[in-house]
Amino acid sequence: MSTTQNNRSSEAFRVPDGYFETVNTRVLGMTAAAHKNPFFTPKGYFATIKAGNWTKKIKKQPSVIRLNILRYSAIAAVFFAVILLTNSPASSQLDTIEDSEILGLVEANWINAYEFELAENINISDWSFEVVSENTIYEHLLSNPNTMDEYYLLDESFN
Amino acid sequence: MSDELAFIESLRNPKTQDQAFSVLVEQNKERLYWHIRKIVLDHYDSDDVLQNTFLKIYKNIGKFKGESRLFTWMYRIATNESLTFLKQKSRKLGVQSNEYIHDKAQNLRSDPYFDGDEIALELQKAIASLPDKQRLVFQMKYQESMKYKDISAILGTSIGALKTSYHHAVKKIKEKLTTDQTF
Repeated sequence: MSTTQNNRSSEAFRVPDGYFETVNTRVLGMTAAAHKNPFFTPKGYFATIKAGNWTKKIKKQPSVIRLNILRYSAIAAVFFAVILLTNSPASSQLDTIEDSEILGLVEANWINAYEFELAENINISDWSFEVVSENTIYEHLLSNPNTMDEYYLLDESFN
Repeated sequence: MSDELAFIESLRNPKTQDQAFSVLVEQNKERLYWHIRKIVLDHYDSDDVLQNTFLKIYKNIGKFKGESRLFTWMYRIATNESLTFLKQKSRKLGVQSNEYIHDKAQNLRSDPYFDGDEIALELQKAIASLPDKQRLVFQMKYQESMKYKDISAILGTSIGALKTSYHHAVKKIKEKLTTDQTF
């Protein structure tokens, strides 16, 4: 393979012949690729998206979700023990929530809540695992006037 | 802006809410979908996240204060829903979310809803290797051609910090593509 020497630094380093002439072409190709959308959807996908699909679902959702106590009693016991040890400040609660099975519990019951929402806005040591109301969660969120501002700003990925 | 305020009011009014929500979904479903898709990569995952996003919008529109534009607020929800989805999915698999998205990008070739060529594939892998914030900023600025002002409102980050993130993202992508394609 023929090569071109790098005459600005060490003579030991070489690049393929004509390499630098190809850089512009390749960079331009990448630029074009970045703007071209290589992703696509199943045919007719967007036509299937109707607001009614979601509004019906929301209206059908029960406001009170009964949990299977036998299934979750062990989780709850461990969870409350950890809460007692951590003295429940928000940051500790966040760690506790992330380390526990509570997210799975919440997710399994179709409650839409982030861990930071739970940690910042709900004193989860007060929770009863016999009956958890989705409305209760939202009431807690609304009790703090700054909640909705903070709600979408607290993602730890941005820190 | 007054049109937007009137529209927001119709979203809040129980009598007009459902009809207004239909309009909102029609007007925004595609751009929100594509924003989500670029973050989570998979079509079916994007469909789930899009559904969650619209559910959040519907449930919380009453609490939207109108201090930012509606579009900004919806994008913020879509972004957070996407990141939360990645975190939950990666937690279930016992990996970090950046590892999860990295694996997704590595497997794009077998994705039936991806038809990019080799360059597009390498570019997606390079984007997936960025930290979350740089990835988002690059995607929104470069791929979605959004203004820094709008990105700043969506991500809650100063324009200066966004420019820095974008600069780092572009530099890393160039380096990665050059390194991977040379020799």
